Amino acid sequence: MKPILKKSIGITAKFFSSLKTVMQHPMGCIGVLLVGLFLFSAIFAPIISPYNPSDFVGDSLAGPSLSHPIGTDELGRDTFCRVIYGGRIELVLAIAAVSISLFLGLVLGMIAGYGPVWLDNCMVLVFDTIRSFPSIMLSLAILALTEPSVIIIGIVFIINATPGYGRIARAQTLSLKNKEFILAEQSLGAKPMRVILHHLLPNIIGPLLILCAMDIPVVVTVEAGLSFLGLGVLPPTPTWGTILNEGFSVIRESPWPVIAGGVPLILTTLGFTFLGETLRDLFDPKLKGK
Amino acid sequence: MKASITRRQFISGMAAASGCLALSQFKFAYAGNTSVLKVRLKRDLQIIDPGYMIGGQESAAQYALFPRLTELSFSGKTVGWKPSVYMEKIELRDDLHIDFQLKKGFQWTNGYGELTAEDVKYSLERMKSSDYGSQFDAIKAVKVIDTYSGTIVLNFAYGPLFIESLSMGVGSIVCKAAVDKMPEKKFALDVPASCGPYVIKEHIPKQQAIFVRNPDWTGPKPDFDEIRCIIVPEANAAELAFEAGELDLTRIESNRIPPYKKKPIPNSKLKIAGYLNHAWIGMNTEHPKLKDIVLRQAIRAAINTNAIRKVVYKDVVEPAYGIVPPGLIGRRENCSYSFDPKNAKALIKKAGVKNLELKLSVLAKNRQQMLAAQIIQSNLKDVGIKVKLNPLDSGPYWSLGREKKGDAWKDSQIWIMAFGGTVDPSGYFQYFIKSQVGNWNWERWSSEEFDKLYKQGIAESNSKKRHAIYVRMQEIMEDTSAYVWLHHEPEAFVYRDTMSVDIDPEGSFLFPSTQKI
Repeated sequence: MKPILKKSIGITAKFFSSLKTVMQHPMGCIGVLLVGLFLFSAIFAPIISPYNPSDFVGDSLAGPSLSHPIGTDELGRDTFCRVIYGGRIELVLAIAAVSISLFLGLVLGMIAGYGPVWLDNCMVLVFDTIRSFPSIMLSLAILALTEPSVIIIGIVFIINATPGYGRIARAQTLSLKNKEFILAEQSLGAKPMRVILHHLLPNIIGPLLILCAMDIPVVVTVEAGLSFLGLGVLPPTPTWGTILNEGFSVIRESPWPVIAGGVPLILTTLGFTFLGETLRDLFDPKLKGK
Repeated sequence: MKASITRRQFISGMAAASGCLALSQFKFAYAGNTSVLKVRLKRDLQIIDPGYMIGGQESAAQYALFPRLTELSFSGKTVGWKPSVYMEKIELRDDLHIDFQLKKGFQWTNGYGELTAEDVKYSLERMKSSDYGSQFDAIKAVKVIDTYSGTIVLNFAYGPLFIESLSMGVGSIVCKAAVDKMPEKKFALDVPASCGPYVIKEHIPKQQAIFVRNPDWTGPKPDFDEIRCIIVPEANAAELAFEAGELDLTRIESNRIPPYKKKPIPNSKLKIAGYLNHAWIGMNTEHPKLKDIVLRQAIRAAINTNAIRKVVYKDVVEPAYGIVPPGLIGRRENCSYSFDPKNAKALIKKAGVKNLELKLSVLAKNRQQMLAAQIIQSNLKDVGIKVKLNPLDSGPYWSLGREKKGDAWKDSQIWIMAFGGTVDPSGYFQYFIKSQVGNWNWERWSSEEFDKLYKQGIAESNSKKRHAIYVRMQEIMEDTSAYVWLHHEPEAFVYRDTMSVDIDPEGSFLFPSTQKI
């Protein structure tokens, strides 16, 4: 058996073993199911949705029926399709924004922690400067100066989240860089890049990944909040925030649009939070056995 | 003896104290309701100067702050005029002369002395060179006879002068001595002197404007001590605030008329002020993307205005075939184009346009415009034109086509425009004459025939001839293909049944004549 294949089998086995461990906990089980549902509906949106989310296919504000499971919005668009497609946008946005924030935070944090003191001081100053801006005010200012879009909302999150990840990565690096296994590697002549990638990264990525799982619903709620304020994605693109915003306008005529926008938001937030909490409880060495 | 207090005693005491405080606050608010009128403004006040205002919201402030020579009178559905409370007399001596005499004793605030005929002369003559100059073209000059008397000399007979130019906000008289001291002899919210039943007490940007009784005003005492104009851009929020008792008078969206009629709110009344609003989709004829008239014709044919009226406005609006609303001289009964996507596609092909992307500007806080924009977006997508929405706040939106306000006009492409109207048709056309290009004529076209007809229309007294003139003017507008006529929306309001309200045909509140019953 080739080493790569052997390694990938090992990773897969480890993944399923971890999944089994998570599923044994009620909270983790609910989290996995909700996140799974969210991922499934987002990935297979074109197959699940009977209509195009922007097409006017029914009467205005029709109630639930066989043809429109959660009714229609004010313009007669199928709300179910809009929710499903909305989830797709939320997923892409959340994964992209969190991944980029994680990547930038990790790189900058490890450089700060492992590099010379002057560089560490400079980078900490930059992180703290960005973190000192009130995040909501910063977001509103950026959106006011630019044209609202998914990309801008992603950038807003990245600006807000990267210093946080960077701070954690730096702290972890500082706590590890004088450990014996790192000093031993350095004494054998390993270059900084090798030390960072092969020894530091695997040891600090775990806690950050757990944090990422818990930040995904944050992105979703940030998007929903901004869209609700009319600063999010432009129509006719459906997102849960825009569905909620439109639903609020017609709440006295039909509760369905608000329910349709609100319920997935709650379930997704709960799902990722439960999953993140369970992962932290199970895999954070500091919490093990407590 | 040692005084001591347990934790539980402390909490109970604090709870009782909070309860007493809350009750005393409630009592104060209740007392306040008897003399405070809480009104919704849909946007913040910007420029109160009658020569440079946006209109609508500012007119309400002008009615409360400034004198006018005449004011509107309402009798059933008929709107007329009558001499204002500031006048001893105002009468038409002949077709070209209007004599007036002011009452004595009306004082300007901030120590600027008495209201005089010099103020009338200054105010009406400065309007000729203002943004609303076309409404004052008929006025040649104002001759001052003595401190209180004068004569308005006209260039030509002008029927709508009393109702449109003198009775509405643009007819506000400002204080000559005070305005002359202002930079550029203009003012915005920094009113240098007023002489109305109310004065501005406080203006908190984007929150509220508070007007209180003017203690020095010698006219009839208004019923309310204080008018609190609360800025609530969202119509839905305003309705909820009205139902919760936080507002006494609010404009509601026209599509809320059917539910209100079906299930009225207890202790409230519904008022339709008129159908004078006119809405259209405008296109910038000078924009490189829209220069070709064939393309504009295609866009016109691609948009389903019936769907907008039915879905967005629940069929409570009147269809538009031009800019003149139903019931007025010059109203058309049909227009030269109709919704025809096949024809639209053929015209796009003829224009040789491919992959066109347009920017549609709308008022972000206007939910109905946002919904209509999505129907337009979908209609144009069906014929191969991609539309990107550009929702704007009221400030940037109303600056969109105005050269004085920046360079936004250069990139303005298509927009949904809704304007209030007046009871005389001439008012509808003033914004499209050549001198308005770059000001309110955002479509940026001009026609010598149109300008000539405009002058003829305001001087003509024969109704049939006026009708023909205004119909022809709308045909000229339509021939530019820069317009897709939408509808005439009713101005609807809900208010407490313990008061009577006067609202001008444009939908501006007449605070001084709002009364308790």
